[in-house]
Amino acid sequence: MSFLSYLRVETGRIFRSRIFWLAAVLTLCAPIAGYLFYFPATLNHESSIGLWIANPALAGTFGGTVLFALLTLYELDRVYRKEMASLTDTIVSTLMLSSSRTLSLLLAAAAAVVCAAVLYLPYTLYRTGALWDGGYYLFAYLGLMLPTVWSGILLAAALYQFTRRVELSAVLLTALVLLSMSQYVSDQFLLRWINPLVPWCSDYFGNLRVIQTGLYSRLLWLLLSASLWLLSLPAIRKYGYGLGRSFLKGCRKIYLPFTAFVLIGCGFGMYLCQPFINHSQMEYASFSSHPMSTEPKLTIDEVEITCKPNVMTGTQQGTATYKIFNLEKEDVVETFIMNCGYTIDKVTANGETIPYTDLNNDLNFEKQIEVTIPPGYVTLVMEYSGMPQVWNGLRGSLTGTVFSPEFISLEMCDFYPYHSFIEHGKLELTLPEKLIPISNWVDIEVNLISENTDGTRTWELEPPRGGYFGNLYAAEYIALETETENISAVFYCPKKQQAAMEEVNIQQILADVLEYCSAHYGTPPFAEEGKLRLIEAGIPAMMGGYAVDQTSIMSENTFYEKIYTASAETANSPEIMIHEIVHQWWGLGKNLYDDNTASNGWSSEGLTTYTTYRIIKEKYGEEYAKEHCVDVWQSQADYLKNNFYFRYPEYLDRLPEQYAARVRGSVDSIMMYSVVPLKILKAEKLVGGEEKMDEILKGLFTNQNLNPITYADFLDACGLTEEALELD
Amino acid sequence: MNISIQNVEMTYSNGKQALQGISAPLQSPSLIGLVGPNGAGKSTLMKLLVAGLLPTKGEILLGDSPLISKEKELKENLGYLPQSFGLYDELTVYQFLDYMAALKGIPQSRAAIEKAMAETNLSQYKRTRIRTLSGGQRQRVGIAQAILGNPKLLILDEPTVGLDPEERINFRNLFSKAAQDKIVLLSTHIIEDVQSICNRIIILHCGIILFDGSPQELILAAQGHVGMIDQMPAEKEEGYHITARLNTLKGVCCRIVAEELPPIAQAVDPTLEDAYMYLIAKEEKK
Repeated sequence: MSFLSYLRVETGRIFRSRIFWLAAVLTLCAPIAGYLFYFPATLNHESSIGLWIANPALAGTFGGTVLFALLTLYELDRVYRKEMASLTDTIVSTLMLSSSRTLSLLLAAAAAVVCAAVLYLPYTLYRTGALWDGGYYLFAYLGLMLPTVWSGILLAAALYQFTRRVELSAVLLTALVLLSMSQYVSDQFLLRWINPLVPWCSDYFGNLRVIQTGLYSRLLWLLLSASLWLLSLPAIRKYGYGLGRSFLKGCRKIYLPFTAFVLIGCGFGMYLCQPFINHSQMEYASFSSHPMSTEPKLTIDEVEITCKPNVMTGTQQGTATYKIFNLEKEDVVETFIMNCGYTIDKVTANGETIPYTDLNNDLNFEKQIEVTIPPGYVTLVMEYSGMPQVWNGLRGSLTGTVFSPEFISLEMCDFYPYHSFIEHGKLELTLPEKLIPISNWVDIEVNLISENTDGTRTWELEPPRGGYFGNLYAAEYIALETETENISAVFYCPKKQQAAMEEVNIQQILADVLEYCSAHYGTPPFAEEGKLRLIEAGIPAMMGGYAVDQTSIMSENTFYEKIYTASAETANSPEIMIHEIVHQWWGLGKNLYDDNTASNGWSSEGLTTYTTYRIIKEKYGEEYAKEHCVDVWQSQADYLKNNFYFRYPEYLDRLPEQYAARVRGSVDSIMMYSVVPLKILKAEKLVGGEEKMDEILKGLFTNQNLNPITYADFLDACGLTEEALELD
Repeated sequence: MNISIQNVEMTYSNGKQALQGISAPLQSPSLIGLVGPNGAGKSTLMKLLVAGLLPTKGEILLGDSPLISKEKELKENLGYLPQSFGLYDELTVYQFLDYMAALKGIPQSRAAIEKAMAETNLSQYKRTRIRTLSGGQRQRVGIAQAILGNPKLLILDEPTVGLDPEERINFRNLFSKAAQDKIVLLSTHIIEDVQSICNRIIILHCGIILFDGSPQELILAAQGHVGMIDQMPAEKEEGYHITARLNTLKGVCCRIVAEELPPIAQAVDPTLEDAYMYLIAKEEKK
């Protein structure tokens, strides 16, 4: 009762303090920075939710946390500096009073954050329009901003209670802020305190992973800051003692350090056992690093899989039933691979439980499971469940397999414990009724087999052969058809986006690209019988795009508002979208590769990037294309030329894995996407211009004898030497 | 309420010894004047009594138990006005007293606050923000928070500093009235305050108790050691201490205290201030 009484009067006092109102008003103003210059959530994708909800909320998070941390230091220091403590400390326990003082600051901060959420609501509703997402709005303000501001208050209070010096506490807090904003932790969602990691926001495909990781990291920081604060309570100076004696005396209230250490333990446990990112190395390893049996001692005739994703929790539960014939007369240990986030719940062979080993040897997206299979015909049933994890190498972008109410994305090892020697597979997938699944492989059939009474529908996937189900995307898709003289296409985009797409006549943009490529290089092999399929995938699954036979998959960041209206005056272009369509010619129609690709960067990406530039030049003008393509390539090539590790690659091995992977990835990317296009551009000039180059490329594309097209083939067709194309 | 100070020593971490083994029982009802020169250890003793400090040696008992083990009981029964204190400027007088009443856990706080404001003549400033109060008014707010809830132990360190003479008289009466059923410990430099209301005086000097008794006993101890000299001595005389210079029709007269009065001095009846000066001078001479 007395504590509540202290809390009442302390809170009342805080609300009468001018300095609190100053902090509160500035906190209310902080989200404006998210409209003007602080854009952490839209660096990769300018979505409406990112622009109008996440950026302002993150700016508010940063500003509010700094302001309330400073307010906390001011309030705690003030009672000693202005000697209020000489009155209060004699009539009430300093522990109780400090606790109520900090708690009242937490309440005041909560009021300020709620006011900010209410204040910006009308404007956000107006700006987001049909894309308004109330759940995300609540998450941004109450799930990200409020806990961060709270942790700032607790950390500030803890530091002050330890040091009893306001300037030292401020310095330590500043160091923590700088560390949180440094590049060392930029891709680690758990270590970012004041600037939660929100690498993207999706308007059409949900934001479950960002919400989950955001809430998880906030809980972690709240635990850590609360534990530090609890640990600092015994350090409150008493009886005229210094830090050491006060702390020792305070620790006689054993529940304080005990609770603090329990919370620290919980936080540490949360850090180690976070369920979102796997523990793979950051550099992508070749598939052979997780070898399957090269000479299988058994045959797997078929596998039938039942998958039931839980879209609310982002988890999946599944059962895979394998028909196996073990050729040996003894037990065989066979290896399966599956997503690192799944766990095997049970394995039975012919109804009997059999042993298995989860190797937990995360590599790329998967880990290995070893199952001991008895001899003869075996019906092997594996029950598994869990939350699919993001590959460690993509931890900064948080993209990968996802189950959410708006979008599902599954790759090879995400469906079930995968084995590469399965003869035939069939998969039943139960999804919310609004989600329509589309496979990236055109020859994998996806059929609706039942409409269930619980608001779900069950789909069946059946590949023509094997147990490989490709990549599957499920969303509330609609199909937009595009016809050109030589080729037709169907574009799957979210229903919510249909009006925007039609308004900008996306079909015409697609038709322009298809016609350009058909006219300049010829039609791809599938054009006579089938349609080119374009699938818009959610940014939760990936950024950018890729292409497989007859299908180009592009992330939603390829289609944001400014892209639709690209012109010479705007700063964005539909490069990725065009790029991925062009891949149907360069990459799928004709592959570009040679033995020296690792060193010379020669791949389909170079010629695809060059062709993209040509289309952009034709559509938006030379000046625009130069600025957004050629100049960008040149600056990247210059950067590479000056890069120490590019010139002295032997030093790369001395770097920690994380940085070495980053440098290698960057070098490879620049070689493929900037250096090779520059060389092709140089070749274009040397062979006599664009028309001549188009003829050469058409010749390469239509030459049936060339697949893949090597760099030497290209040089021969141009009549040039490697040296002639060296860049200055 | 009984408090017993037993051989209490207090040495600060910088080595300064503030109290040197003092002992004194404090029992209610009593109004005790704690006097002594600057640095005598008065404030240190008061901080020890309110458990703001812990003694280096010795102990303070509340009843039969160490004070530290009965800290909660002490806090519940304590009214304390430190020599130097701060107030929350953003609050009104009433809000501040309401804040303090909540900290003290006073039931029926509204009536208690009204009473404390009336007794300290602050009722008219009830809704005035503390930041706008004068120094004297702030001191009265300090006293009001100390007497709030009628605590059984009232410790006041220089409470009348900054008050005008009329207010000082009012507060003397207030403290005197309050002491009828509690312990009031009053630290002051103003002997007049002590003389008029205290039934017991403790004189502290350099961390030791020089005197502990009634004002009458103190005066009696100085009997025959206070005198008047009609003329100002030409040179500084050894053996006596001038406590006052008085302008009279005959010129400047000096009031002196001495272990043995000089022949030119005419013995007079000592006042409490004379007695205090005699005691301090005697101690300093040692």
